[in-house]
Amino acid sequence: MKRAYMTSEDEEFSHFFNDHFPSLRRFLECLLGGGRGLAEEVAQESFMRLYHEGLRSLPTGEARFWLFRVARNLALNELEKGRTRRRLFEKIVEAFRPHAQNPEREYEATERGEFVLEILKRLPEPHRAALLLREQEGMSYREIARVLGVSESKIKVDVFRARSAMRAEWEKAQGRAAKAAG
Amino acid sequence: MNCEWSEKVSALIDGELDASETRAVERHVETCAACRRARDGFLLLRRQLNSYGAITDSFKQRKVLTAVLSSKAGAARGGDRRERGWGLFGLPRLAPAMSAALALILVAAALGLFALMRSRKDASEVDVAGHERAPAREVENSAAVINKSNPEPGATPSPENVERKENESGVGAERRERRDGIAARKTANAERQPKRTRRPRTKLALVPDDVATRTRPEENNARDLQPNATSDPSASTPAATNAASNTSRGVALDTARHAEQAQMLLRAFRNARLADDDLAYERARSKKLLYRNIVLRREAAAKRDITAARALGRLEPLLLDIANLPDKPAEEDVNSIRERMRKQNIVVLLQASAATRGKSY
Repeated sequence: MKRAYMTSEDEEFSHFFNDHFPSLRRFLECLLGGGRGLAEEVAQESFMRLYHEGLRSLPTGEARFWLFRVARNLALNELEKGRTRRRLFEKIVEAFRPHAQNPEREYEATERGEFVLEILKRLPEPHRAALLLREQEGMSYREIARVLGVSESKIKVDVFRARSAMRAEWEKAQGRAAKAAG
Repeated sequence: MNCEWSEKVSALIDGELDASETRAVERHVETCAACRRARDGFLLLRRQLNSYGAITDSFKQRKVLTAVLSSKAGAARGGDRRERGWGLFGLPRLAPAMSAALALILVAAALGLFALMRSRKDASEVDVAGHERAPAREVENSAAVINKSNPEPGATPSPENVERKENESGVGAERRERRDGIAARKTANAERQPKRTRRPRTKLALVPDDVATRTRPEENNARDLQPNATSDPSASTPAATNAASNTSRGVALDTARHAEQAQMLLRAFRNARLADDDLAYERARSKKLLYRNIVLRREAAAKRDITAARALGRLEPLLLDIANLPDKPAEEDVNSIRERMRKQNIVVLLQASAATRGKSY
């Protein structure tokens, strides 16, 4: 529903929102391990905080980092909350899950990019966050360090470890698929 | 198998190596199959991650934007009707600029009406006393008329003066008439004096009752638009000036107190041992201080107190990050905040700010 009017500040905010909402939503979806609804909720909450904070109150160029920092902290809270709920739930689900992996399905999933999400979930959160900000947002190590509040050298190591772990899982899945096909 | 250069290959594809390192790693990759595989694997992952979730639901996006933009109005007044742009009693809600313009027009109209009523009252009193600017004949006529209607001798030109006017002519006569008129007005004014002494109280009454307490910047601006506001030196009274300086002092003391409390919180956070403490108290305290920090920073910015605004602006992200720490924060997260505190020297900055603001007022 359109508003009857929009102040210049609202207009500026709307441009900023339209520029960054898709990428923030994607970042959160990957960080939270899937679940588009939750990612959108957290993205909305992050933008709402930025709106109340005031886009113009932040130094030029800082808003994007501020936004991602807040979004990541909110996502961490969600992950922590979810972890407690899931502990019990997974115990039940695990009892009924078929333990034999289907390599062909796994390989198909790699083609669809869903497997990427799956192996991302297995990474520790700081590694996951660093890798996503690097690969999806194109941030430099310095910028990622600003968002995550850690040192640049730590980011360099985290990104490398995340890549190595993901590459290893990826190659394992491809190996399994190749074996199954052969 | 990973080569020991793999980490550098990772930094290479991110463009994070300097020129000499870049050349060295590129040369190595040409000769090392493991590093070539690593580079190709990293780039493939990059493509996969980039292509994931690239499509957005634009309808959903618009809905979220509407919700965000409506949140301020909804928070201020609440209710679905507000979100649709409707104000009180079903009337359409006006843009803030239009509301401000309308308010200004109403205030100006009220002032104009007030001034008009006062001038009419003055005019009627001057007529009784005798008009100073009226030509001689008109003064004569009016004096004659007044003499008939008004029995008070002191307030009107005396019959002797009127007779003298009939005998004399020219500028001198006119001057005498004016003098008489002025004298008569002064007499009339003297009678009104008690009312005038009450005017300062009326002026103070225009200033809101909460002038001695802290108010929001927009209230200060509204006060400035009113006549005889405390900012007008010609109209200020000692009581109003004291009230304004009390407001500034109150704000400065609040900021000093806030700086002290923030300083104590940051010291506690810096010295807490994560093995023994989950920082629950620091997180809760940080949240409270964060909200107050936002208010004080905005006030400082509105008052153009750049030093305070800057200090509060540097403090705010730290308070936010501490407040947002999870229940069992990781050591590296806590250390990163401590590192930022150390780099910004924030505790010393707050100490100085608290001391300065506490003393200067």
